[in-house]
Amino acid sequence: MQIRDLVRRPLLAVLGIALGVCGLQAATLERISLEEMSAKSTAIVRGKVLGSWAAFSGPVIYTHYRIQVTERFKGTEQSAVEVVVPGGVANDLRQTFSGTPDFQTGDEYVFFLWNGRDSLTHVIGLTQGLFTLAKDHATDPTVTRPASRELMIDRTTGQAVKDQTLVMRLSELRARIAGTLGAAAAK
Amino acid sequence: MTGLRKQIRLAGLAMALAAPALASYHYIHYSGRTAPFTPIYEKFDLAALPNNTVTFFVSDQGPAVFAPRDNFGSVLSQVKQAAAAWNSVATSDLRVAFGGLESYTPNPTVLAPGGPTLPSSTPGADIIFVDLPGVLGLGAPTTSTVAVTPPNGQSFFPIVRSLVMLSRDTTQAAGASYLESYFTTAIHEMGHALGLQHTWTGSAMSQDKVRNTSRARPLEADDIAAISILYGKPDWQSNYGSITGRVAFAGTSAPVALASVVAISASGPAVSTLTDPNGNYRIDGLPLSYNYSVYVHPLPPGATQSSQLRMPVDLSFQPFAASTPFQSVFYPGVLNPAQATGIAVAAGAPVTGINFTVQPRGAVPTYDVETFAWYNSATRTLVNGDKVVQPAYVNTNDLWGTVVARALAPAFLPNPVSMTILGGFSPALFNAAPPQPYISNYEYGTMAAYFPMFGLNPGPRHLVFTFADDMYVLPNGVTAVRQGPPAVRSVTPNPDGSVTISGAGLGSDSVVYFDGVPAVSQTAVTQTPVPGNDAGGFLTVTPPQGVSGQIATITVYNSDGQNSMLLQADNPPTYPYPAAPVPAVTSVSVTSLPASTSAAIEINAVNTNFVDGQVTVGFGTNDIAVRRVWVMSPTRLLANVTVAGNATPGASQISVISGLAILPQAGSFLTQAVRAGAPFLALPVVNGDASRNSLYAGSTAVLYGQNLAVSASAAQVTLNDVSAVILFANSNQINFLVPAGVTAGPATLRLNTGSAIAQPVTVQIDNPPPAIAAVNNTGGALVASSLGASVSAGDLLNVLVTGLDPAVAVRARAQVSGIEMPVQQVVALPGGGVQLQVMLTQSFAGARVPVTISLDGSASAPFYITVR
Repeated sequence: MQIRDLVRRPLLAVLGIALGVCGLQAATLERISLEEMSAKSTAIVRGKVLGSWAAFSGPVIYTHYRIQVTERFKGTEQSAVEVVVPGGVANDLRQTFSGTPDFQTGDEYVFFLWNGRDSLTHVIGLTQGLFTLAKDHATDPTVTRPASRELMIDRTTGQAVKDQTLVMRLSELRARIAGTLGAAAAK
Repeated sequence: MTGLRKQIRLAGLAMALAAPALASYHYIHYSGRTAPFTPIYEKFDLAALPNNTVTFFVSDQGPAVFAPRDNFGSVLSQVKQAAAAWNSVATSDLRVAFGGLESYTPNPTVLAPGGPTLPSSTPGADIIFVDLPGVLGLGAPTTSTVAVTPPNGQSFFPIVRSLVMLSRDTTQAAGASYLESYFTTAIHEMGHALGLQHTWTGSAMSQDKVRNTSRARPLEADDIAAISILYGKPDWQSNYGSITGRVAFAGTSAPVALASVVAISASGPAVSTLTDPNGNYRIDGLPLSYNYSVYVHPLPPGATQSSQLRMPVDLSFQPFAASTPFQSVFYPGVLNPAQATGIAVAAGAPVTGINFTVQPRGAVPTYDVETFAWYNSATRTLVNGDKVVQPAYVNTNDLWGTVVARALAPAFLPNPVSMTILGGFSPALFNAAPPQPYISNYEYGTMAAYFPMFGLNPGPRHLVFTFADDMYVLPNGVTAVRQGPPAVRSVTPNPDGSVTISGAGLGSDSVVYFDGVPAVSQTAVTQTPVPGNDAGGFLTVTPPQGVSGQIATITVYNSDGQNSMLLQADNPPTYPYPAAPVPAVTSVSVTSLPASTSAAIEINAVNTNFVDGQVTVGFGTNDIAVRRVWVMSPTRLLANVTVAGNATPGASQISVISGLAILPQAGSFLTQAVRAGAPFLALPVVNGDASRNSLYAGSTAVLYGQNLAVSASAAQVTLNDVSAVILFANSNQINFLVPAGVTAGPATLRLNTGSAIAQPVTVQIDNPPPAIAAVNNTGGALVASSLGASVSAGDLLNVLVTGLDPAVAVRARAQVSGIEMPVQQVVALPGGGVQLQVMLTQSFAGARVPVTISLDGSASAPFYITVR
């Protein structure tokens, strides 16, 4: 027997066994597709960041961002929405969570939002539900969702997966959201 | 001490103090953006913690969805065991405890946000379960933005609370809580909560893809050094070595900021640090008795993202950037580990001037390398394997060992020129051929290296990948073992409630776990059919208390780091707990106390089987510290509690956890406002002789506190209603003699201050403690760390004890750095004394750790050994 036969096995096929129990990092995410985000979101809006403030909610400091809504893809009509992101400075205390977005006033995004049991409005999947709009003043701007660098796990396989950057035109994003919502409504 | 020797020692101490404290893998602030860079750490303020103890509480709003056969009791037990691992660091003044459950808002709203229903004023840590789509876990310390400077100490930013948020669904992330990975993950996350960041040494604080820790080896020397830098005892460095130096770019001599520098020993630990923005570094906490090589490597791409490392920041929280990539090298600038300079370290005196000049590179070519091996689940060998294990194992009894390596995407592992197991072994060369060690491509981006096993000793071993103009070191990249993993063949319940486990690979170091909780007791292993052959064996264990009808997953752990899940994860053996009445708390003697009070509380229950070491009593808030719990019977507990002086008034949850069983509705506890002038007994009551750690009849006890005595003559102290002679008394201290008539065991102390009667507390009265005369290996050689000797996990120790009645010596217990170790044999020695044979079931990563022997709670003075 060749020595190499001792171990000859399809490595990629069995890695899931090892990776299915990978440990929690500073942040661990579950991969959710654009279609899943569209379905799970309680609201999807395009908007501009107007300003922010931070406060404790229980043991967590949340930074609250005031968003001026310019387009609504899902959810109830509203001109503004308040979105929270874990982490910030409040009462002379600081919490820093890895993998959380840091919005700048004036930046424009498409937000996939979710109202939690705590009645706060979160971005789904930390940065997964956040598309940046290019500042090119185009009528159909490019939207980009950068790949997360956090440990990400695929729910169906339990394996660690590499996130993918999503880039498309806003019109395509709008169509894909509408397609998902339309399919759900048809069921 | 001679004058000369004293001068040398003082010179060494002066050097240690003069050397700048530099960067490490902590959360660091610098006071300015130019040198000198003295780190300001983020850490818990020991002065604000009761008894130096940070206590982790778990929200009672637990996971909503569990993995198959998983349960909340198992989740809690992993948190408890992880706390015990950090608590076992002998060089750290920080103590770490699990406090049970805390009440959380069940249905939070904007007006009543999620959080503990009684916020505590005392620093601590919370583990909570949340619903956030797409998020499985998040963690962060909550740190004051205002630094504090203790008297005669370094400034730091105090962590006031740490938070770990986990998904309410345990089917993902770390997986079922009975898996070893959940335990090692809990240790990892707790490390973050205590102030540690990621490292790249295969230690507990390394990310999971390069981590190689286990129940048998929960912490590495790197972890122990890191926690000791934050919370070390005043003299902790006096028994460890240090290395200092600088890293600069070739040509420009520009400093290399945030380079990772690692001191690595061929058969010992790897301890790391980061350079500061000026390129300087200092590695502390190096166990003695090893020869170290030192190498420097750039942080992998993405490491500077907040998910992996938070870069040091200035006082405006503006980060310092890491330098651009560079070539990894061993000191003095070589790629070949055989050419690296060996560095011997000495206690308390740093080795200085280990400087590097490195060549810049456009990118980091190699990082995030994982290793694998395949076990044959039928034969438990590494031949024709069908079960992948990660990191790789090799068997020292085989002729050849195979290590498969690849990099986790997006990293890519180029073809190395050679792969080396550190320790003087011949490197495996790419495309060489047997009988030489060699490397071949296995799959695209994946290598298999084949090493002869001759001369390799068991334990974690370090791998070096050498490329044409670079190198990559994977500390603890492969584990050498002498036998295959354990495998359970049958689990047979016995009429008396015990369980007989049969299987292969069972040995005297095997420990049986039920859903992640160790068995209460177990017999020695009987090997069949041939003694010495591990193919068949059995032992009988007493399961921890479980829940009626619970299907517990059985796992056997061996001291070599292997466990039965390596082969049996697909279909693990289980034990069905028999139907039993629901355990319940029937009475709690004290359910309210004012702030600044200590008291003994008695808890009675039904249908329980309380066992010392497997019971947690909590009062749901960090403001109430449980100082000690006594198991008086299977259904009765005594607990000493102290309510902090600044405790937040209000109701909190009493929790009682026994093994895997969480006793429901244990009741609530009311913290009342402080009562001015009321007596406060600071626990524990201690021996007036600081060299003694227990109280016994005739010894002098010292009680500290406030408002203890109106006058020396007015105060009265009784122990079990026997008056004690008071030797000294004032408002803050009472010294008294433990009455001769008080028998060993928990005794009730009552204090009349002359104007008030304090709440009774329990004091442990012991027999005069045994003394350890020597600790020998089975060859009869003394293994004191002061002699430079060391032992390893799986070794048997012969502990020679005096002052121990042979008639009761079977009750003696052995602890190493606070971790219980099984006493396997007790032998009365001719001429007096007793020899206890103690099995070391886990490693302490080369640390110098105390061995104590106790009888009924009366512990000996420590005897220090070094455990690899």
